[in-house]
Amino acid sequence: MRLKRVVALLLLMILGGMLVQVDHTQEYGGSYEHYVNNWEEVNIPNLVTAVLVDYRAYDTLGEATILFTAALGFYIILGGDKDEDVNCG
Amino acid sequence: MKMSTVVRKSASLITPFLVTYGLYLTIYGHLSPGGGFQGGVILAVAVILLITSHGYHLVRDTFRVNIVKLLESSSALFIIGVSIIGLFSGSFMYNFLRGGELGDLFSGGTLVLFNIAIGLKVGAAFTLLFYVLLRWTESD
Repeated sequence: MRLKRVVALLLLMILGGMLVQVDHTQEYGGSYEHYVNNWEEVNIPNLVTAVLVDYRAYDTLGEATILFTAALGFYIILGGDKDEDVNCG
Repeated sequence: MKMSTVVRKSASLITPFLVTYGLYLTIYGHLSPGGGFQGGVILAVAVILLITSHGYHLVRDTFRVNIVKLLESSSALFIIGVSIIGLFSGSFMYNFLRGGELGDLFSGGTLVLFNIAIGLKVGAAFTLLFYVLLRWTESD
């Protein structure tokens, strides 16, 4: 038990050291550069929404699908008949 | 379970502001910080607050489960429908309403429609999840 804790503490410290040494200065390249240079073409003043709903609208559609599937699964598994209370009311 | 008078009055007082704030975050999500997801979660939180203060049965009789289900499914269909309409003018999810002055409410084109639909969908989905989960623990 004590060995487990020591190993866990060691792993945590290694992870913390890695996180501290992450280099945040390099910021150009890849899709980031494209978004930052071209986001005027979306014609809205909010970069986050521009990325979420315009550039990566497929991602948002997938999120909506995930939520829909979650609600559907909850309803199928837990929303069935309970005594005479049919269909949740 | 039904809580005390103070809690019920406070919840009734706060809920309209929560709904207004959620709708503002949803509709103005492309101009200011916010968006469909955050606004939708706040809309759901307003209903959940009413459930915790006023009891499950009263809220369920006001916001019918069938209406919540209809709202969720129809907003999902609306998102896909708007995306498919874009197919006629170029590609899937093409922003066919783009234009307008930068900073206007409708400057984003279909982004506004997407945000509103996502907000309604998220709010309805979380409300539905809480309804389905809470009917096994209802006690009043």
